[in-house]
Amino acid sequence: MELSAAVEDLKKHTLVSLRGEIARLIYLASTRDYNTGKYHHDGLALRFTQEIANQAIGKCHEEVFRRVAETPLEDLVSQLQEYITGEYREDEVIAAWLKLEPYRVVIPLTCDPLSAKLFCSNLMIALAILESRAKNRAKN
Amino acid sequence: MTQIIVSVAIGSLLLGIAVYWFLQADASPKVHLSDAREALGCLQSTFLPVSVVDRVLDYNDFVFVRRQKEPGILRTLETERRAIAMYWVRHTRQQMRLLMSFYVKSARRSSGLSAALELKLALNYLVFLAACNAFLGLIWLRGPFHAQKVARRTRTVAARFCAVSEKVVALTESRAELREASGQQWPAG
Repeated sequence: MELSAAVEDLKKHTLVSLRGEIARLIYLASTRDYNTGKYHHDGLALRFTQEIANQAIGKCHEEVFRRVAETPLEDLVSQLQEYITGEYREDEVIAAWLKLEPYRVVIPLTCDPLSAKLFCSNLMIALAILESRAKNRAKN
Repeated sequence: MTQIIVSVAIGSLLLGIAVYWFLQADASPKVHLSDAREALGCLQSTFLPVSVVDRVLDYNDFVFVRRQKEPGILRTLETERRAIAMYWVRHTRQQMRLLMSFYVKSARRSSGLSAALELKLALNYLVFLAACNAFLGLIWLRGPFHAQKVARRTRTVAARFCAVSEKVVALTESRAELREASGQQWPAG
């Protein structure tokens, strides 16, 4: 009961203000301690408990990840474009993402290997498409 | 005449497979009940759910990337999806093989399975292997985006095999519990 209340709280107060699923995914993954795999959120932990906050973020992370991993490539490219152009300089982000592959660290701990492979592959292809579009735009 | 030859050939093939399985039963170590449970869980949660495999082989993704008119990206997409599809079929086959080994090496001796259940398992496994090979052949020949129908067939057969295996595992578990309760020993494998 407390867990679902914490999930609702997180969605209503934090996730709703983030634009697009990719921004949500990156935000949720960034609350994770990579040494322990546990999620931290001070506000949520204050309202509930640290353990409930950890479980609630984990649940949301899995949900958002599943939605992104199962998004058709065309929509994923649009979502990625929206995320990049909304916050940063497009060419910089594309170059950094292609080189550093930061999308690999946004995979939830409980994710099955098949979904993880599909997700990374789709992100790589989506970035390549955005890069080629940017190059074509620069040429014209 | 042709019908007789075909029937004899199929009969010989099935007999050969049965003899092979029988000989294999003693050649390699026993598969434990916990391993079989794990393989079953892995298949049901990871390798058989519809959505992920359908996404891997989604033709619309191919059409979208082709529209970009970037042959390099299209080639990468095909290579990537082919690799993921092959990963899927290999791991599904591996888990299915483990379940079949469990049945051949352990469950058959301890559970007293009915002949109908044994036949169902064997037939499902054979059809599954054939479907796997057809799927692998198709993704090599025509690429991953033309293999969705065969993938669905492979998954359906695997799911059917899992349903029968579930019964075998449950039967083995209940027999083991009964033996434990009455203090009997597990028959030597």
